[in-house]
Amino acid sequence: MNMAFNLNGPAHFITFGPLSISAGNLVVIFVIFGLFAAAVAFPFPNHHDSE
Amino acid sequence: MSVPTKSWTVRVRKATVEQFKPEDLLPDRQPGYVTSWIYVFGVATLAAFVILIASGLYLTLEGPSWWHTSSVGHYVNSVHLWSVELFFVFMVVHLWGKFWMAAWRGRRLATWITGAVSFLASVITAFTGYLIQTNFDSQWIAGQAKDGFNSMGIGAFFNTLNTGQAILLHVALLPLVLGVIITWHVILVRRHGVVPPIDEGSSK
Repeated sequence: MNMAFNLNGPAHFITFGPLSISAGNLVVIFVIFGLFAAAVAFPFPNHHDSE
Repeated sequence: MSVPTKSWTVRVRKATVEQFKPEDLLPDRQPGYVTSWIYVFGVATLAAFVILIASGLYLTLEGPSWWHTSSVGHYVNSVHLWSVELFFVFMVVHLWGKFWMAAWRGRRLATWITGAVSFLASVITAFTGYLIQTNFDSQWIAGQAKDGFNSMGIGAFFNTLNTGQAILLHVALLPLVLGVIITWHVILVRRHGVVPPIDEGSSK
């Protein structure tokens, strides 16, 4: 089966000095940062300032 | 028939209705500042939790030999995994939002603390879940975590290599604890209301 990402192998790790994190975990962390920024930046549909 | 006023059921009923008013628990109007994506992520966390419990019940009833070998088992196992991934993503966005809103203002400290404690309880619950996958991944995690717990001096109480203990914690105890804390958190949100924006000038 063709997949966009081949997951049948050792994980790819990114290392900064003593710190090491898998690429998958780093992607998830950046996705959460992106979601948080979007949740703050984008207005809620049909939002009114007062009740 | 007269109701005896000393009856403990009457006292409990009156206290419950007084503390948890139906119009607070199921309101039909909310302040304008509730329309925020941060609360959408809070509700999305609850939705992911419902999917987690439902798929977890299915896995519990069928067992490891089913989720490792059958197509439906693989699917339900994946639903359980991805709903916990989304559960944490949604909860972290909600938690960050509430932190920067200083959501403990206006006598809402218990709401904030139950939210924070539910995050910590979720981490422990998820950890025991990774221990009971019954594959090489869970074996490796248990072997590594054993050294960590032993170094903290709690290895005698929680042995990560004891799969039976991890299964009972993950299936019987921790979901119950987590469900109670989350329910408590939602009731407190309803009871005290959503925190107003900081620039509103009032913390009530």
